[in-house]
Amino acid sequence: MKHDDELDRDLDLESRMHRISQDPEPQVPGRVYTFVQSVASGAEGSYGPARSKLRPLAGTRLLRMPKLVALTGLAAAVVLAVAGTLLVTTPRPNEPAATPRHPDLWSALEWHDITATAFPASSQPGSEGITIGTSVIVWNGGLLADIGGSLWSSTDGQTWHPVGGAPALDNVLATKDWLFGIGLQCPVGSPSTCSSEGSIWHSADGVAWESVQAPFSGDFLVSYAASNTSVVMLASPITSGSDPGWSPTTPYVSSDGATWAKATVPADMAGATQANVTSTRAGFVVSGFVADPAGDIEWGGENASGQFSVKGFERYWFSADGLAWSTYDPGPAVGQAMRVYRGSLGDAMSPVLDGVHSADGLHWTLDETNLSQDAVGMIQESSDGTEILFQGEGPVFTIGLGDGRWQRLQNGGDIGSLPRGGQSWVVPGGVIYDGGGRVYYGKAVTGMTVTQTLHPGPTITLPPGPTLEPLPSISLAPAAGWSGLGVLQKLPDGPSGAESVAAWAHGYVAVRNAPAGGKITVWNSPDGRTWTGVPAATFTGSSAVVAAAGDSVVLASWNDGNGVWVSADGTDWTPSPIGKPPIGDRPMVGDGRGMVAVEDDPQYQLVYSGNGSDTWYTTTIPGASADNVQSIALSGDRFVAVGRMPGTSSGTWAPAAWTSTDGATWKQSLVSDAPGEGFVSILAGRNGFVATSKPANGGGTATLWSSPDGAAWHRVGTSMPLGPDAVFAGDGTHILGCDVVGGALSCWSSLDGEVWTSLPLQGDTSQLIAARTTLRVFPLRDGVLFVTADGVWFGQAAAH
Amino acid sequence: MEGAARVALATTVRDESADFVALVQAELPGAYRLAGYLLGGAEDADDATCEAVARAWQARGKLRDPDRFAAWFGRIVSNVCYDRLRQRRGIRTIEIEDGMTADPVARDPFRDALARDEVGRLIRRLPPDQQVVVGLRFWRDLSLDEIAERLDLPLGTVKSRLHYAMRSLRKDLDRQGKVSR
Repeated sequence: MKHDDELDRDLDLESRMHRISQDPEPQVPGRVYTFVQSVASGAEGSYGPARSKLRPLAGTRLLRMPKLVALTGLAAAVVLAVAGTLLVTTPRPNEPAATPRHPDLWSALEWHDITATAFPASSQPGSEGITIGTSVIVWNGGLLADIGGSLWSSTDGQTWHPVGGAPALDNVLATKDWLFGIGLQCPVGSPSTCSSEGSIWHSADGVAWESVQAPFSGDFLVSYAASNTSVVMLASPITSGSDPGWSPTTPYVSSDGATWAKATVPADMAGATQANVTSTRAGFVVSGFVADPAGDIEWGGENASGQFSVKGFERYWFSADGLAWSTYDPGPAVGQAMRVYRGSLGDAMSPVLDGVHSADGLHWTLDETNLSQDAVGMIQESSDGTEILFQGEGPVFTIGLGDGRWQRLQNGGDIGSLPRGGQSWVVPGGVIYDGGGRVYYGKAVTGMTVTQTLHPGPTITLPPGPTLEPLPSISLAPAAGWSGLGVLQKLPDGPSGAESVAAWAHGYVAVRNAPAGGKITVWNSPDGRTWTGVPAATFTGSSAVVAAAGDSVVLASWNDGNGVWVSADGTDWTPSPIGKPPIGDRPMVGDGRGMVAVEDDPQYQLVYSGNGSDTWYTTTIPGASADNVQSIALSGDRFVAVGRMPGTSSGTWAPAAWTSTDGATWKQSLVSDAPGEGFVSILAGRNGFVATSKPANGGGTATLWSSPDGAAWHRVGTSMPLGPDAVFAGDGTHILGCDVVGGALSCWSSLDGEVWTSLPLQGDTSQLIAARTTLRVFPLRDGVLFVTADGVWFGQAAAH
Repeated sequence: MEGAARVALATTVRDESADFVALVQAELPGAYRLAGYLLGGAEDADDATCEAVARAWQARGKLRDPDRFAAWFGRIVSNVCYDRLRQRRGIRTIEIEDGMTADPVARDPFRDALARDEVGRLIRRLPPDQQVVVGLRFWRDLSLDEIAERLDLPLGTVKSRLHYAMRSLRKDLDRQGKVSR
């Protein structure tokens, strides 16, 4: 639970975020609508080459719209492969032949999760997981990467070590003999409020770094590139509030990283704007825009006066050493901006749509293979000087050597799947993939075929589990309903602010979450009345859930550090030998027969365990993923999970429930009479379950449901005055609901969610009523725990 | 919230083209708005929107359910923005001063809006994946579930990215003493 000042700050920040876009909404320029028409007509529309400003930023791969338009017909005939599974559309005329296989190129990647072994836990940069920054470079037989703002090194890509003393770098470039580092994002040479920003660095060994005086002051570094021997930086002055991209640039070159020389450039290059520098195996190439009324390119934009346009030509200049420049014509195959990747057989630009390659870094020809089918989704390239890697949506990977041939790689290995949305780098012998806070290594193989999709297999560190025997039947004595509560007793050492309380064999454990960056607070109690805090240093994470596991109790934490701990007495906790499974963000349930939880990230499946302490397995829900699951409960002989699934009508949602008697295999039930809604919580009683549903778009009023078995659901029809937005809790025996009704605290309990009994309260409830916004209630075995942010009360239950 | 797009993609070339135009045009304002705030300028928004349109036309065969066009196209727009944000990481950011009016690129509505509050500047320091989640949440008003669907990410990942983004922004603002307490 967040503190008030934290909430205020969040609300302030969120309102400021919203306000940014609350001005009158900018209108879509008419030419964009025209462009849509021209694209869909398959002809070059009036938009043509007269485009809005394309800012050729370093590393930006700019698609040339006229080419896109021209290729739309071809695109209709491609075979589409996405996400590791082949989706073959109906063949159309002129469909290109299947891409040939090249036996000398890599054919597959065998993926392994190396997060746990690659990075020393004590040195990991952040609790949010491993995130590699801008670059992974291959240099002098090793690798360097910026990870979490720190520089790390490796000899094999699979084991990494932090480079002590290195500055915080935003990017690293390598020449043959030295390294060039860029500090964090700020104008180079200008006053800065941050220590490592606005700086450039030099290193001869990757360990010792020296700050280098920029050869310009007050200018913006707009682009930079490294060749085998030199680094070229392009700098633009800041003039009267204009975008530096529209200012002429000046190249500076260094062959040692310490001394820099201003280059000599032709007159047209001196006046060029929107400049970008890249390197090829022959030297450096600068592209830029030269204004000319006779130009064949029109750059446009909008300002307060309306649309404006500037005509001109896209020009190129070449220099072998970065010092002396001359006009260069890369030929018609090259698009408006160059971004070159070095391979063992040549240089290449993006293989998508208009991929080109060059054997000498000067003369360019179209690739044999275009990868237009991968144009949707993430596009990323990298090279290690030998291989050139292209990452498309899925992710799918394609490799080349710079000679115009590209080969799609099959994904195999011992993980279930790669998370989407990551980024990759090619390194000698394989590919590093960073996604979902974890790091994967794909070992390259040649000349063999693996299955198209990753092997069904263990995800992260958890193996797939066997189909277990149904939960062992247990003989439960009929539970007695409650008829009332005794005088409320304030517990001075109670778990104030606790958000979850679990009953287990030897008592209770309570957990309070912390604001971001904080740590959870955990209490232990043998009887629900006397509570003792567990030392805070025991755990990591700012959010947690806790559940019984027979003679033990299990706590899983997330946010600011995932972890699972097991305790046999509620006081001493031991990290689970399963390591750091990403459990969290949803309820976790269990008893002596088994446990079920939801993975937080990245695979997002259900996990289950017989005892929660040593062996966990992954499982999936047929037809759904675990992100459809919102809550889980356990009662009697079954686990029940609830959430939402696509409804019977297209585009709608429906509440869904899944039941399992072993935690491993699940059956789905769809509640079709509540279109547009989804279950958001479930509570277990001895003889049934209660769930709440809300419109799936997040708004609206909740609805209360009950079910005797977790499969058949109906709306609760009861005279109970509590609405579904009251505070509810269940412990597998009693379901409890409380709310302030008519100025008085009203609580009701039920064993099945269908029949509810009012629980008269005795004693002073004024503090509970005053703290109604933070009030939580937890049914214990013999009474009710009332928890607010500032206090805890216990009410002894009277049974029927 | 997304507008519902229920125009079925037809099978004939002519109808396919018309339907595509109708579907895309309904999404252009939202796409343009997201791209503009994420990329920080009208011209970049123009480019990114056009690139997304071209990608969508190319890949329209992948769309099996026309009712899902809004989410599908929104994902393409998000990915285009993400790609561009990510590729920018190697360069200096361009600081825009308040009240700049110099021609020809001044008075950009997106830049003006972002420059008006320090938060608008600090967002650009976030990792691209966090920027996209922030943009979808606050500038497209999508729920976390919708963002997860849009980006094809687990809900937990969306939550954590938003969490870390907001935490970073708070820290940056704290350093500058600009968070109300």
